[in-house]
Amino acid sequence: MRLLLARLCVLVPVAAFCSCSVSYEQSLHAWYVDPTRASQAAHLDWLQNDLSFKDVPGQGLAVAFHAWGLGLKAEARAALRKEALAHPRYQKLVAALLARWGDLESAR
Amino acid sequence: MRRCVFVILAGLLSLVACSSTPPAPEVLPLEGPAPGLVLCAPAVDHMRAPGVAVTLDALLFPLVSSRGYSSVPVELSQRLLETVGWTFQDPALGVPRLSRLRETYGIDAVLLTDLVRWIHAGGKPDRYEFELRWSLVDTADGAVIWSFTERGVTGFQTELRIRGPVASDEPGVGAQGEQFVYDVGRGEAEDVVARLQRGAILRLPRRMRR
Repeated sequence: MRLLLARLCVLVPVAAFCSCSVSYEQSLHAWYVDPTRASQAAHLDWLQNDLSFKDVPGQGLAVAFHAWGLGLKAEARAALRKEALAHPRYQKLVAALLARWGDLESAR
Repeated sequence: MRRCVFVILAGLLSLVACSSTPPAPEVLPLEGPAPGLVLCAPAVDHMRAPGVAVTLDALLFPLVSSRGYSSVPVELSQRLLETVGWTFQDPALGVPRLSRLRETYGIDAVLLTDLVRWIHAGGKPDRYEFELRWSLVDTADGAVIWSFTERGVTGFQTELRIRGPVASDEPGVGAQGEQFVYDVGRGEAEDVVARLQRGAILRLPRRMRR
């Protein structure tokens, strides 16, 4: 029993590390090669949860792009506004994207 | 007395050694103001080498960001470029398209990765003859403010050509306009282009974040 517990203590963190060790490019690559809802959702999940990518200017744009692609419109808009607040350099781009998305919605 | 002479001699020797050491590569700023917002355009040759082009694209955003630039993720960049008429079949970015990117989205410069050549060399599966060009283009007038070309055969000596201010975190990179020769190594195509992409972006002058 102790041996089993000891093995679990080693294996669980290793498995957790391996499952989280996908890089940005690997995650994006998976969606590029096989652009499905599943691969897009997986990449969005990676963008939102991977600590190595937090606070990189522009990261919110990628979140917004993939959230929009999955139909999560409120989440996409929130990610854009957050990006514009955190990094004012993106304000013009964010305003243009919000306007464009609004036009697309009203055209439907 | 002997100890004193020894110390003086050792000091003189270390001074001579220091003066003969080549200076570390200097990271130079770009000529003129550095672009603030950089769009990462996808490599234009998705049809000819899809896996390779995707690897080049996926690396662009994190690498350009790591040099201090505010960048746009490549998946969004592609959609923005399409709004000004760009496609993989018509990838030219002339002044009219660049101006629209600047006026509509506030993009200061576009980083282009052009996979000019990528073919098997010598019939071996892990050898490729390649030519890759990176250019940073100002959206105000279409001027190339930095460019980098690399060509050769993987596993053999490779040529590098740099135009614009040189900046590198790597030792051994010389002055502007020089030509360098090194071995890019062999391996899976995606691994090789990933090494090339990382090496190229290391030569993009850093931008100080404000």
